Amino acid sequence: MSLYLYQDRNTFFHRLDPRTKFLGLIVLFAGLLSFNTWLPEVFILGVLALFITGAGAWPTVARLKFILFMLALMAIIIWSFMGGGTEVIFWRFTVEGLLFGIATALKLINMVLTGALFLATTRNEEMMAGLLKLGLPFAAGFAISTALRLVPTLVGSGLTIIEAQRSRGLDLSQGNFITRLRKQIPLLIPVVATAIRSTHHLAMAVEAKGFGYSPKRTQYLVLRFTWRDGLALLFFVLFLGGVLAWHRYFS
Amino acid sequence: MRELFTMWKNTRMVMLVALTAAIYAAILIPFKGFVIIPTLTEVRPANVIPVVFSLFFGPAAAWGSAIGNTIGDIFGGTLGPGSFFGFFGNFLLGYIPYTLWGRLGPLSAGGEPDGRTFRKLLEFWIIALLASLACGAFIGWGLEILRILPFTVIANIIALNNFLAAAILGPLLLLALYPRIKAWGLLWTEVMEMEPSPSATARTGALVITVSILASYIVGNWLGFAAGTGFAAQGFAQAGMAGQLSIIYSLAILWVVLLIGMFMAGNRPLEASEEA
Repeated sequence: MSLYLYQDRNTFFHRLDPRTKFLGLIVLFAGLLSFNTWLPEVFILGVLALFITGAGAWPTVARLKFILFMLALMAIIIWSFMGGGTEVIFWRFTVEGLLFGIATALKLINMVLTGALFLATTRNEEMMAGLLKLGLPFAAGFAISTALRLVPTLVGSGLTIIEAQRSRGLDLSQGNFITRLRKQIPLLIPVVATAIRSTHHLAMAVEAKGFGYSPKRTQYLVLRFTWRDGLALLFFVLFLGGVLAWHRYFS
Repeated sequence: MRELFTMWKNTRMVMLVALTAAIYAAILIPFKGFVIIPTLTEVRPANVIPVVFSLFFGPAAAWGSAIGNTIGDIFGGTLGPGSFFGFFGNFLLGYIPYTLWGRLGPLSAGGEPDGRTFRKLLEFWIIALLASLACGAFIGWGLEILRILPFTVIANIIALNNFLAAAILGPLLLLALYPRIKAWGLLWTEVMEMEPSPSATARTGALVITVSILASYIVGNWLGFAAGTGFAAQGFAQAGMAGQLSIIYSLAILWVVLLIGMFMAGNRPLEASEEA
């Protein structure tokens, strides 16, 4: 199974310039963080659901369902329990705490969905090209993109080592959480050692392909702002206007 | 501190950044579901990586930890405003250990960080604690600015979470990996042909770093408690109390002091030591 959250489609959201999407992330996060009540969060959740449908990003969201469920559950439990208030449901759980917990859970879900929409519509290469255009040095961009590609490789080699150890009698499914965690340590060392040992070979391979030869590099992926980016920028302005209006008149 | 920038000219160090980031992220991702504070932190045994790898790969581990944490957020689906401060907090988690190793005065064991004696392990634990406090305090300060959660909640939980992972798993990784990495010629001092400077300025810099970390942690907690926020989980419901200007400004000053310490605690090329 692929670890990547990207969905290969050709939608309006996929064709936006990655720099526009970075700006969108900042604008949406700023808006989400400014609210502490459930009503605007529900409205934004609705808008995000429309965007996710338009971007065909539901498979990405489906892959995050465990994380989303845990976030919502923990947020509601923690804040219901710790929230205080006068209307007690039982023990320390109060109505006020429960409402605050639901509002916080919605805020956190919206933040994860915003990140998921970005990742479902932006390839690693586009992300890197956008960051390089925004001034990130090439060597740093190269390290980031190499790391992004290496994560699934490392997970794959980890699974191979687990299979090898299982064939020698290691049983990772038995015991409690701590016992199972302890059994992971003998697996960690070979995975880490195998990865580090390849450093010299990787360095020689990239140097043979001209890494660090010239400080000025050309890019295969050329980024351009189009009318879609203009439309997106208009949406960001309207969104920020809406957030400010909410705080001015309804907050 | 100069090595943090000059390392980008060394291909092996660039590859070590990528490998550290990938290994850190690969171990972080499976635990994303074990939430402690929703979207902000979870059970993180992977936090042993920045501390241990810092002693192996120096500045490459600092950048790799920062990038790896962000990649963990990307693959784990928890990319959010906190990721920005997470980047710099994890950078400190990977920067502090190699900068302070051997520079803790009477607490330093002397010699290589191979974890083979109790004194070396003791130095490792002290350094892991300082790095964890720096990471927790920086992220706590960031979330205070963003008004997400009070300092007293997030800083303490992150510091404890980081320290436990490094303190329990760190000695095992050190013992198992240090001889191999040394044999492969991948210690940062060998790759970059540098070594920690033994000068009085560098030792003073290490002291400044240590004091600023402890001060930021103590001052942040003290101001938070004085304002009435609860310790760790007790403060979960006090998100509205985040954003105290006293914490934001006083810690900003302490981060400037930390930066000065980072400038002072320099390293020198190996030729300099050979000439001396």
